[in-house]
Amino acid sequence: MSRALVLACVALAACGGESRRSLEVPVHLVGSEATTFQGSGGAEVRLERAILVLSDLRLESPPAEARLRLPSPIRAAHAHPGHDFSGDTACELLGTWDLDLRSAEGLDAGSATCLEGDLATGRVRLSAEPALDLAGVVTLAGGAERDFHFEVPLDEEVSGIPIEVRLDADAPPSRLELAASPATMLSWSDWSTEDEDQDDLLTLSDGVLGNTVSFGAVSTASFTLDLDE
Amino acid sequence: MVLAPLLSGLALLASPSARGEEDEQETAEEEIVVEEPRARETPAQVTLDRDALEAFPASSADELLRAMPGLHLSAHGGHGKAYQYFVRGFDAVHGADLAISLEGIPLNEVSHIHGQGYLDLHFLPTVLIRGLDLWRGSSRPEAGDFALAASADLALGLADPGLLVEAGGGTDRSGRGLVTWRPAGGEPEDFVVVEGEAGRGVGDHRAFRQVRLAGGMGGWLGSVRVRAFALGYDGTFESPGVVREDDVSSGGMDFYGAYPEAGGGRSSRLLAGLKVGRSVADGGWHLLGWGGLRALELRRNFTGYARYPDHGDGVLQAQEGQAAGLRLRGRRGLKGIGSMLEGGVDVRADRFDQREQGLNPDGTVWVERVDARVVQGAAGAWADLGLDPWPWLSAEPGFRVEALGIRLLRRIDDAGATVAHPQPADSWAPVLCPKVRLSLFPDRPWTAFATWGRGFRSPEARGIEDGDRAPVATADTAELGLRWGAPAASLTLVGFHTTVSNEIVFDHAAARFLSSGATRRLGGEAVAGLEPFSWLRGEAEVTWADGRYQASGEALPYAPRWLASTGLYARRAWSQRRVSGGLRGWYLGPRPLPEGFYSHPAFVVDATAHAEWRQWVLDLEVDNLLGTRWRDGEFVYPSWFDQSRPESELPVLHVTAGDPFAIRIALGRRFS
Repeated sequence: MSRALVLACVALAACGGESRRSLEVPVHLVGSEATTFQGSGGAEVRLERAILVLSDLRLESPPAEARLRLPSPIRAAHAHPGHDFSGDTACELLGTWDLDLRSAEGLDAGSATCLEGDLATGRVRLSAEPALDLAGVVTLAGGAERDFHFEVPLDEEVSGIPIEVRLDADAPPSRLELAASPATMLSWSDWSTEDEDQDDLLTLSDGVLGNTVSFGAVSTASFTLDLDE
Repeated sequence: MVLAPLLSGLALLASPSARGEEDEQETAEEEIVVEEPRARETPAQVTLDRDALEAFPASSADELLRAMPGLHLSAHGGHGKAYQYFVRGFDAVHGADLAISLEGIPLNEVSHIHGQGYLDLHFLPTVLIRGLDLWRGSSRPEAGDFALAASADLALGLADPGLLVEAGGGTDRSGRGLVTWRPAGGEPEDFVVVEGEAGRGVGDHRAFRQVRLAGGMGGWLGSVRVRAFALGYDGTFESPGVVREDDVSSGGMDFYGAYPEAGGGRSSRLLAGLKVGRSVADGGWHLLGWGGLRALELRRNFTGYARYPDHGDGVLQAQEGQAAGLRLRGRRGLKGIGSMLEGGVDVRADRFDQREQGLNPDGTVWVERVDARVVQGAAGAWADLGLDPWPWLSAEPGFRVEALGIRLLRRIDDAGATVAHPQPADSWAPVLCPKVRLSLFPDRPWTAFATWGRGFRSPEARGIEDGDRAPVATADTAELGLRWGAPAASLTLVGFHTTVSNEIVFDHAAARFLSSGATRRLGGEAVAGLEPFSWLRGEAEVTWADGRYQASGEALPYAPRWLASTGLYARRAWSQRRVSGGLRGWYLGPRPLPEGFYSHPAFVVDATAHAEWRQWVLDLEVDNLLGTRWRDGEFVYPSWFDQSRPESELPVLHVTAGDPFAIRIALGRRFS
């Protein structure tokens, strides 16, 4: 009798579903191999220093999928948070990293804990003073050279970095790579702007550089996410 | 206005004077029962009398509802907060899809701050429950608001006459005292009950204290039976809340532990009813007036500091109010066409204040989120015509019509849109719920049946907008089944399909209801009973239910897919001795949870025994006989309880431990 009961329970348990599995994915942060690149107005930008401070990388499920996971038809109940929307973070690596954007090797940030399933976007926090430290020389189209040094304090999250992939615990990816492009960060900068304080150094206080460099630093376009199978 | 003809028709139908004086004189001598008229039994109905209830393992009135096939309940809030109900593919939360009444008094609380249809039966002494009728589905015209998935009615009465004094305790660090009295020669409805319970529970933060008082009496006024009863309850309780599964598995938290931020509360209720009625052989009428006072205060923190790192996510929810209603029932045989017409009218009014506040860890309030006063009313009428046109066919077409009205007098909502002055919002909605039940060969051992019915759930008052039609949720359920009955055995097989035309959800940010689309539930039940001897009964049942969003096919979370139970119940009585007992095991299969998770399965066995010898009474209750370490509540979401660690946004499993093995014994003495 008891054996039959146990067998019945096992059979019923087999009819249930399997929980979404978790997996560990190594995360690699990388900047740009090129230290010289084209800027706006035909300027050539040469980086001599480029440090970006990043923290807390998170990847998210597609919004539509998350919407379908509405946890209860009775969401009006305030009974417990399981009945609210649970959040759609599906992959997470907590920590803070100083990334040299001029380093071709980049750095290993650790392993992210992920839940299998579709991913759509990623986000990373830039929170330090400065979060971005860029210095170098820009050669304008006419041949004139100007030094620059941008120390950008930030406390913002860069969100919506696209990564449309599916994580499968049976075939885990070898690596997740987050790349930050200093060329894109500086692509909105007008290098012909006036050196307002006439100190022979372009800084955030000159012209609109404060706006454009800060905008570039937190622009989604400055970051890419890729999975290595 | 619409209800006026119905009311007058019903009164005419039910009134003895309508039959003429001669007829009245005849039928006055035919009075055979004092109960209110009862509807025909349906295939999806389970009825338990006092003997069956005494043998059913249940430590509270709520747990008696487990006798309904396909129903599971979870006590994740400790001893004092309403259970969470799951039935037929519905996560009925704290009662949103399950309508429960006591002697016809609706017990679900409308627009409750902690969840629509909040259903707390802790105020009921189990010794006072004389009968329990359980109906699956929504084909019962009598059932009104919240009867989307199922409904039930509890009957009050004290089975044994005399004075009983009983006291006991348990290994779960609990104690209980009970005094009941029914006068010699009195009816079961003549009673006084005083009950007190207190305990610390097994594990952390599970202490509770409950006091119940009840009194009732009945008598005749001519040919009319009059009955009055009142129940009072006050209880305080701690709630262990949830613990993170990863904290338990890492050894950082005991399975029966609790975080310091776990909650608790206080619950009070006063409920009174006055019934007058007259039953005769071919019908009868019955009028119930009821009223009650209610207060509930709940503290909870299920997420630690995830939402408000500076203050913590502690929440205080409180509601205080009054409710009153009238209920009229009539039943009359229609001679000549072999049919029975039943009908009724229900009127209910609720008025309550509710608030929700954010709490600091020290219990002080740091933000007001909700401060609302609600006046809510409902008036409904129903009719059910039982037709037996041929011996092989029984048909019962019926309907229920309901008008809902809501007035929200003021509010400060959690979207931050503070309303400084009272700003009333009015909303209303009509609901029409057709129903039909068909039985083929109702008098044969094999009976086939089909039912279809619409149930509804009123909206939460805080989600209405002035002038809008209130967004009522409706559910259509169709059932097909077979029932086989023999003197010592029975088998019922039921398949059901439920569609909810438009699930509505409440968006906290927008502070209003949003549509989440159509859903459906598909399932089946098998219920077998065996009674080899008059004193021994066995039952086994299996329910499968699959709930999904229609558009996406995504599984509806929380509701069980597989639920099975088996039980053995015995009762023998001699001249001065009586023994009864029950052993019941239930299996809960993995449930889909949010974020693609599934819950753990559980198999739990409970037992109860009751023995009387001369004036002595012995009660025994055993929870979780096998000592299974099972998870009663399981939820998936991000949380942050330990601020010394970085905050993670990954959803993780949180659990509430199920009751561990415990024995409670009570010894009593009767005084005649």
